[in-house]
Amino acid sequence: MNDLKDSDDMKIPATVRQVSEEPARRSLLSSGAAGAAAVLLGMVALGCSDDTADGAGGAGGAGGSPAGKAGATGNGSAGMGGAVGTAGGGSGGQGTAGTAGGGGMSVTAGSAGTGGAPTTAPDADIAPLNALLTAEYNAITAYTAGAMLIGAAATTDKLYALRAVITDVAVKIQSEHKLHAAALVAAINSLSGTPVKEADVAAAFKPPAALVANPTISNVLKFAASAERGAAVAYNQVLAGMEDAKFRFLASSIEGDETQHFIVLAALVLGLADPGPKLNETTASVVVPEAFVSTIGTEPGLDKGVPDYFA
Amino acid sequence: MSLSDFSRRTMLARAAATAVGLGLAASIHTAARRAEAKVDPTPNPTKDNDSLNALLTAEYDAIATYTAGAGIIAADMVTPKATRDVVTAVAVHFQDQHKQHAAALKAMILANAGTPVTDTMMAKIPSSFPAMPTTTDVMKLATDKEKHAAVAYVQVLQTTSTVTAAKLIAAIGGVETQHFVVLYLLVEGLIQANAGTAMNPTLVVPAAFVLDVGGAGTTSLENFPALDALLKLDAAA
Repeated sequence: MNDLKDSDDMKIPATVRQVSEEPARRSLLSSGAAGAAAVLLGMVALGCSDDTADGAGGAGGAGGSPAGKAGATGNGSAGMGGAVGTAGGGSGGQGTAGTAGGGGMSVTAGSAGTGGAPTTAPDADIAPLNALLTAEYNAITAYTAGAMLIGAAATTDKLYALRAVITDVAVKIQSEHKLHAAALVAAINSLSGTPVKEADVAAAFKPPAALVANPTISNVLKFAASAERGAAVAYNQVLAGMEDAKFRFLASSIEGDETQHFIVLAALVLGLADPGPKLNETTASVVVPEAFVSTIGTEPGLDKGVPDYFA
Repeated sequence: MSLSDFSRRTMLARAAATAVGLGLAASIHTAARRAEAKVDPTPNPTKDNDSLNALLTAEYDAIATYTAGAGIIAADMVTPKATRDVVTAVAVHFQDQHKQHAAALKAMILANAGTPVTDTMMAKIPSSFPAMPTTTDVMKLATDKEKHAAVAYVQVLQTTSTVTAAKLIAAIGGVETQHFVVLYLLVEGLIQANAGTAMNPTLVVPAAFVLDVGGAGTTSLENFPALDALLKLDAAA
């Protein structure tokens, strides 16, 4: 509101004071979301890191809120860590999530471009959305690699008899990650952002050394379960830093799918349940029935795609 | 300088200042509106209490449903006892997690100076629920309710205004989805319980929250060392 007074002295209008405070808050929120995004990438990095060293879970992030914690076990489980990035904010460039590096996949969230007076500041939610997109592309790549390992499993593998149905479930889960990625790309585009490129993320993917050394079906499932757990945790952390409720809604609708992926894989690999009598190549497509909890655009969620037993 | 000159200069100065001020204010107003629109909705902890109380109502309903369900399962003489025992063990575990959810929601409502809804301890049972239900019917009812809860937790985030509430809501919602999918897969025959289920019912959906937001004594996927150990990759023989 313009409360300029008709005076020789140009008093600072309330709107100027408000906006001058706003970038600091947005920066804090942005750094929080980006910090959480870095945690997310750190988790995915852990899922792909060398898992021979306990506790090698990446350096704890500092700054931003929430800050990354020191990693737990560096063995593909959901420890957290990773470098802290800074979100794009205020200047001509726009922050994009960094792509994973080689080796231990050190990752940072992108830093803002600099220079130029602020004209159209990049939306603060672009960086965290791109971090989530990076995680989805990593998941897609990981499932392709995992399917290959399952297909090449030794006949002596204790889960050998289940390799076909496990592969079918993995393909289904991978297809849901593709839908997540598409939704995130749409969200980033709606903010006039630049989505990270799948090819770049895929090129940097490296499975953990322990999985390469011992590519049993069980290890593939454990790796996948840990990655899904890490993704769910990271989605929850990142959404808390997002400014726009509609992106928190999107992130949560995806997070609830990652948790389903996690529990299905964990239940199978930890022996908490056996494949049921009706599980086959066809029904594997409904093991996690929908890619979203709540319908996103034209993609049905559990609200539309799974009818009640007792309406 | 004459009085008229002064007046004219003053008028011009004022006009210039106003023009600049208006232009500046216009761009600031646009930026402010854009900045305000970005943080959407405006944080309002008191308003969030409405959503939190709706979710708390759902949690109390879930708890009451599992209590009613346990009674039905115990009276079901058609389903084998071994099956009923393992279903009951998992149901009790899920119910305990719902109690933790309720406690966390209640704490947040109180922290927001709100009044938590009262637990009626009455389960809402749909009219289509069979008059002589079996264990499978109880599982189907629980599946429906967990699905509704999971969807509600996500949808309420469209209007939740504070990040604190959003974080908690998402941390609970991601557990309701796990409850749903486990029950759904059991009902549909896509998975089946085994000795591992009976021995470790509390590992079937191991954590009550996704993030460590539930307070002392609660479990989370974020911080669960025992789960880390279980999912550690096996070394080559």
